[in-house]
Amino acid sequence: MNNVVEIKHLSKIFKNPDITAIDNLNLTLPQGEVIGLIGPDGSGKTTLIRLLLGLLVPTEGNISVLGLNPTEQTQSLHRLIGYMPQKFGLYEDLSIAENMNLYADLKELSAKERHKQFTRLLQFTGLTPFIKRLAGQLSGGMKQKSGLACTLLGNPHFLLLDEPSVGVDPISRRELMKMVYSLRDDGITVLWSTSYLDEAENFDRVLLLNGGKLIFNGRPQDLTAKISNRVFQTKDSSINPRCLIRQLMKSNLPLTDAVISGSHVRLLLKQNSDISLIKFPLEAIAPRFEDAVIDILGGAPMRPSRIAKRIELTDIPDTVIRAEKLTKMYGNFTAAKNISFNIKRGEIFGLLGPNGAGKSTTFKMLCGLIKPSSGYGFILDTDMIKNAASARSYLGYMAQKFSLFSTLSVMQNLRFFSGIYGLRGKERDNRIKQMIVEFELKPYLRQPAGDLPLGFKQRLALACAIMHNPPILFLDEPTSGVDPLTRREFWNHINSMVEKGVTVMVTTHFMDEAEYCDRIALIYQGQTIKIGTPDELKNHGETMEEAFIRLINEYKTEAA
Amino acid sequence: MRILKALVYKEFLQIIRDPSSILTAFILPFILITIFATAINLDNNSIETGLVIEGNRGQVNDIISSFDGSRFLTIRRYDNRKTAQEALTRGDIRALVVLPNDFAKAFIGEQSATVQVISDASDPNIALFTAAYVQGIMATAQKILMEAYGYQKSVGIQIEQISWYNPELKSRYFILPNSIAIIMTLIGMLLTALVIAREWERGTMESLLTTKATKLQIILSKYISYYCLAILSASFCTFLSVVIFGVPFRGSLLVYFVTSSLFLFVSIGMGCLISTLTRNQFLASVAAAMFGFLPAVILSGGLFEISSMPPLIQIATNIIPATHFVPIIKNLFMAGNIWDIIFRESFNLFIFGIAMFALLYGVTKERLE
Repeated sequence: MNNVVEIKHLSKIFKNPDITAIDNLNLTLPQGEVIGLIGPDGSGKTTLIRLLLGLLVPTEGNISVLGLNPTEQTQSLHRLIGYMPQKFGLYEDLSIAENMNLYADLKELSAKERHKQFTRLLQFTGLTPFIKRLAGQLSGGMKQKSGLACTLLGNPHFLLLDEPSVGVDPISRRELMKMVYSLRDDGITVLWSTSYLDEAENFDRVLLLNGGKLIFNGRPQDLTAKISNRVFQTKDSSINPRCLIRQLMKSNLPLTDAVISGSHVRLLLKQNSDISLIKFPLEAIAPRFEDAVIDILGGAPMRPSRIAKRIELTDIPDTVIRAEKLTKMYGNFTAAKNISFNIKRGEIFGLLGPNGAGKSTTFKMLCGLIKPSSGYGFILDTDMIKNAASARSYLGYMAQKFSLFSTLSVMQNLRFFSGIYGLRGKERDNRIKQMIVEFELKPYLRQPAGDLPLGFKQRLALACAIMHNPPILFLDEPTSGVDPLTRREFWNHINSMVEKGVTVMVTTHFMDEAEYCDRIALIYQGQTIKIGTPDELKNHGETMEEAFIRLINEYKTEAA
Repeated sequence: MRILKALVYKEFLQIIRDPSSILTAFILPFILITIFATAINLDNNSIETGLVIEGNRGQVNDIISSFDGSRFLTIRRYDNRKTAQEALTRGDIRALVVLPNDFAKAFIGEQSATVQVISDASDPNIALFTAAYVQGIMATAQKILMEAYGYQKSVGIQIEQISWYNPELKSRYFILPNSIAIIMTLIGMLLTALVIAREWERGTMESLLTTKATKLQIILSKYISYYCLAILSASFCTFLSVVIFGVPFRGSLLVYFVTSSLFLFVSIGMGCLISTLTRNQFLASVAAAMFGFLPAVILSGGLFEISSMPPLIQIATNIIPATHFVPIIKNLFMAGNIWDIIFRESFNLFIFGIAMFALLYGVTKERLE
């Protein structure tokens, strides 16, 4: 038995509403690999994992995991596998030690075995100093490690991790990845589902799902190789990349994808197309795994966004947002310290940093949701502290996870948000109509917002945030956990608004997103450790993630 | 066994660390008991009562003075039944007491007599109380008469009925024990309605399902831990009622403990069932209030007399578990151990509890579908 997983003609159909989550899937997985499970949202990743665990029963077909049938031999199978669900499966009001004890008991480890494994796992995860802390008070990275420690109790042969890196900063992600590779060296097979494609690049094998079908199974390098010689970057950095992308989208050039990368634009050409059609200077660059995935998924939506068509902004000063030594203390804890920056009109400014670094605190001080302990914040020269209400009227705010009313219909959401932004009567009706037309929401008007496809949820949330024509847009983790196609669509809309002079402030822990910004403030432990353009932050050839880790390490060394 | 122990231990840790469970188990009952004991006062300070005496003999004066001396009734004399009834219709008085012609004879044991108490039943409590007060007054008057005139026996005036259980007629005495039954419904259900839904919402249920823990163990761990919390809460309520608010307790504490446990077995089962079906804490807490708390308040007979409800509703009250616990707790507090009620209603509760458990076991899935 060298294959960990054998799947033949597997289908899973959910009733009400009828969704084919897994569609006639065939798969064999050899032992001892780290396997990435990737695909757009709703492509069947979680369903596949649950089927492998026996938590769901197949509609058709056969599954064998470690030689066992998950539906019939569930108990015996669970003895051999470790499973970490989304959100890590930890009890938040229990400490790390208590969580581990619980899972050790649930897996019936002997006292001797428990002691041995605890010592090993705590050392392995580096959690020993924190074992008395409640899981709910841990950072995303530490939760993830504790979750992994609990999962590894009982020495599983096969490890299944469902989106282990959502909400976890890049440093912790790397550590986890390292741990997982050392597990593989002990012969454990790991299946890791993720929506972060930069992560998947390093896996031994990736499984790419789309619409419940397996469209790629192999080494990530093999997929990337398919698009070699098709990825280019603009040479001239003096052309505004946003302008260029807009022009490219209007053109009929044979492109599958075009994204901003600092002051340049990355282009992915269609297969067998003629590069000489493109008249501006290009240089060939190394393809990334994400480019390959976009390609195999059929390419990014290459048409210009229409939503900014009617935006007209006048009388906006050059400096739109000013933060002056913003500081927030909670007792002895400094959540943000002396944070200062200016944001210019029509600029996309990113607050980048790991969870708990102080991004959201800074963000909320500038929205007037938190009162700073000291320092000032100005929105269009209005003091955010003294005149929070009038300053806020200039803002469009899109909170994390879209903050829509999931049980209200699309129309009801639009009406509600237009109401709270103070739109009345005819003006309100006109704005709502406009949003429906420009975000193409018409077919969904009566659907509850919670049932919308993710891309449409995002459109609706954006529509609600910009209904009152704000000159400034605040986006809090706008594309966390969203697949690359949906993310491109979203930034397409944002870029079109920025072109019209809308100023955008965005928080993110997502490295790729930082590439879309004009300038970035890197926030770590409540302080800005670097402000600059993406190109300034990256040394030549570095990815944003590498730059991020390097800068934080430099900061740590200086502080020490 | 080890798995069950670990799960129960986990539940205890969660209870201790979650301030809202302590709030629900102790602060909420404290507030409710205080409200039931002080704010809901069904006693009327003084009921305007008409008095008509149809025949008149010497001893009657003693009786009248007994009426006049009552602090519960304000007496107005009427010459005949007709004018008095008119006054009642107008609302001048809330109740009317008619002493018949041969009434005085009944006192000295010569013949039987019927005292009529006519009351304004738009407030059923007034009717209830006036009748009870009149009976109390009769008893006192009779005692005085017997002592004064040396009569040995009396005939025909039924005195000893309601005042048995609540001689002081303080509504607190019957409200508090009944409200403990209601609070136990609330605590048992509300606490547990949240816990299984919480495991689903936080994604920990998925983890549990991939360990060796069976669904029986998961269910039992909830029952055991929340039973312990709820029984503590019930003891606290009892302590408040008896020690702080001075409600007498006349039955056996052991019987009280056993029957309360049985009732909590039912309530916790209902809570877990709601939690499992909704998998959503908000929905579960609303459902617990709708299907647990409100019916227990309105239909259990704890606050509102079942016998005064329409027949169809009376039958329907039987499907509410609290209806079967109220008689037990009422008697234990006010009368003592009345075994036929205890056995009958305990048996009913037991059936309820088993049914809930079976239903819960049936709807709990070891898979996600």
